[in-house]
Amino acid sequence: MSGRHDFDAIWRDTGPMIWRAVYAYAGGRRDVADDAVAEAFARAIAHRDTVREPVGYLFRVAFRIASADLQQAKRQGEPADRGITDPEPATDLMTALRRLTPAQRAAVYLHYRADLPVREVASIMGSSSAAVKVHLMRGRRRLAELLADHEEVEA
Amino acid sequence: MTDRWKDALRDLDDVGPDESIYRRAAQGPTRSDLPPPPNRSSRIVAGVTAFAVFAAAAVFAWEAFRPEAHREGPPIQRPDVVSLGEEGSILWPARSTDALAELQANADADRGGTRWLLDPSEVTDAFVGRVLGWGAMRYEVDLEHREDAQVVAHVTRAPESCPPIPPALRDADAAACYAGNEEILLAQPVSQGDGGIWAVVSVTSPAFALGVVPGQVITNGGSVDVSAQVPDELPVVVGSVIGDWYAPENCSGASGTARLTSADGRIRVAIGSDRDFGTHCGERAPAFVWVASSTWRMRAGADPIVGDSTAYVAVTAVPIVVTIPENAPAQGLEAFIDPLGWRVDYPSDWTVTPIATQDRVTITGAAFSNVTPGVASPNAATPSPIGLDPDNVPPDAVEVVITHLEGGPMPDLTTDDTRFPVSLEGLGCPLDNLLLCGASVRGGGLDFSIEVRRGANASAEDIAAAEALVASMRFRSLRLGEQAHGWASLGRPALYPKGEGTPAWVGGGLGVVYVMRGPKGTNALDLDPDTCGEGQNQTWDPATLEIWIQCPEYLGTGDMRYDRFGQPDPTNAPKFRAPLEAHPVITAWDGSLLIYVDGSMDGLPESYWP
Repeated sequence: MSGRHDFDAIWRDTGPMIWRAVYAYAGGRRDVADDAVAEAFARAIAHRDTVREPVGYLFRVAFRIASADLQQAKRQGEPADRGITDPEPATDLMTALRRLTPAQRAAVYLHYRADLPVREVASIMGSSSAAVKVHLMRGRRRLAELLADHEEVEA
Repeated sequence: MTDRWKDALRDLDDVGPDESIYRRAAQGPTRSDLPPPPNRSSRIVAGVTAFAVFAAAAVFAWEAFRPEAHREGPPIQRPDVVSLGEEGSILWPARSTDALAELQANADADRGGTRWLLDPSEVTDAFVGRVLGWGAMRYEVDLEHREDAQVVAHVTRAPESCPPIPPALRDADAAACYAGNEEILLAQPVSQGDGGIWAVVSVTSPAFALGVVPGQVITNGGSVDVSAQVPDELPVVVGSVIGDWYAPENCSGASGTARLTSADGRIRVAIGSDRDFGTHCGERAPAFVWVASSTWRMRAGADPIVGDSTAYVAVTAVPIVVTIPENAPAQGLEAFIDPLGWRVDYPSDWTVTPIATQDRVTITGAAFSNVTPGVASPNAATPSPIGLDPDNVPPDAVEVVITHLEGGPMPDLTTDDTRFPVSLEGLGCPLDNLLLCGASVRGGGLDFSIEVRRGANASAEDIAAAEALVASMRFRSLRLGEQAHGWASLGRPALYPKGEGTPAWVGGGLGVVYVMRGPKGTNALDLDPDTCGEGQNQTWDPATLEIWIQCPEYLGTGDMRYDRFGQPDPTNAPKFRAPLEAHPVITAWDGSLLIYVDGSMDGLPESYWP
């Protein structure tokens, strides 16, 4: 228990979902997801007296940190797939997800896998519902194309 | 098949975080946008080398930070200088006292990523690599531990190490290698001794001298003498940076010039007022002045120590404090600053009620009233929108409610900001005639509602105060590249010539966009560089009004082309035949351009570029 919010319970209940959302957003970079989620929880715990809605705060901070890390990596010329050191093999899905923009990846995961309504996705991403719908539409369309392409190539 | 990806998303459930992440979190925050510990492999550890202390600024700094008890001789006129550790006395890796204290706290707790700050040698290496841009070069470091517990790092580039030479300067190899040594003054700003973190106070090149000492207080609009001694071939940029560039909600501003008109000149330290320029600096802000030379083109209005990989030939930078008297509130007024970036000045004896309600929609803002209690926040009884009740107002009351609604109808993303100042009369709300009125304004791409009401016997003085409050409404300006609430600043329109397409870097997942400033409007096309791979290069063809993209990974397919509406050329490779995503661009209240980064349009209207 930490301050006015029970962060142990928040970690158990929503930590994995937040982590997977950031993992998807980062195109499968476990190191980015680990750092962003750990730092987001650390900041939430440190500011537990002023954080009103911790889950939304955690999502927003984690996404912001991940975004900064990805931009820094890009500026430093890191190859796009650096850091993909998961023992799990890259799936077709993750390969396709990497071809989406980060915003599209986040919107698709949060809405279609985390089952969050568009309004909440918009709140988490610091965006508007209309913009999220655009991300979803474009992400959905592109994902379907990419997975279809992949299947055709394999065939 | 089309929904296969929906099921495929379940694949992500096979991966997840391990418990060590939460254990890390329990140890507290560890980051403050610091560079990682440097790679020491390229560093040459040199023996003791004697260097003459060249820069007068460094001598002054020693004097300024010397304990008072050690000073001898007759009193002399000294500039107003803050003490070491106060705001404006440190250059890097943080400038605010809060950020430095946080770094010290992390070091005290032995949190990961901060141990390098305990070693002046490590801090020197990080600064040399990240800020001077010498990380890939060979250099030597000689640390001089001074009696006042500060350290001077004498850094010398190896003779064969020069910054990269651009084509225009191929005959200026010697010029590029000019100078080649820097003095970095380090101190422990928070706590001294083995456990104290080290920070860079200033950096000084023998090529440049600044007539200012670290921590010197300068009034907004003042200037600092600068002199330069570099070969003519090398460009020299001077400037000042005010505020904390790294803190998005804090004041930040940069100005400068790309050339000195002579070997001697002056750096003007100036930032616009909070009220007129949305700078949000308050009455006092940390800052620094700088002069630098590089073989590559440098931007004058930028932060030279942000660590953008520019390799400097030489750089001198000194932290200062800027006082901004014009930001002091007028007598009897106080400033209210909303988290969404707007501010107003209100009478000190009025009641302020912050508004934050979340139901089907989210409403945030504040209510200002000359009576107590003031306007209640929306709740189940008084649902959103605010819906002020004209029949339920004390006869002498005057109230102003400013709110932003999130989650309602999609705003028009193509509408420019309101031009401020606004007046109640100009907004169609003359309070001398109306008891209740509402109006809308737009700032930073967000829409705001202004609702005012007054009782039948409200005094003319209070009505005038409400009008002045609304007239004082301002927004924070976004600096170039900064993002807030779905919008990112593209800077001044002059950066994008009319009738042309101009590339710009926008973070937040967009990357490179082409700002298309047509005769009748501006939009931006997202080049989506991920699809083209490393080495992508693009240019604007004024003859065909097309964007050409060279994609090294697609050699043999020729250049890819898109017209000014984002439509692909039919000869593009198959993967480049989808239209580019188009993003709205509007003119912000301060005249800068804002691009909407959180969404895109299905196409560009041909009317904007007939």
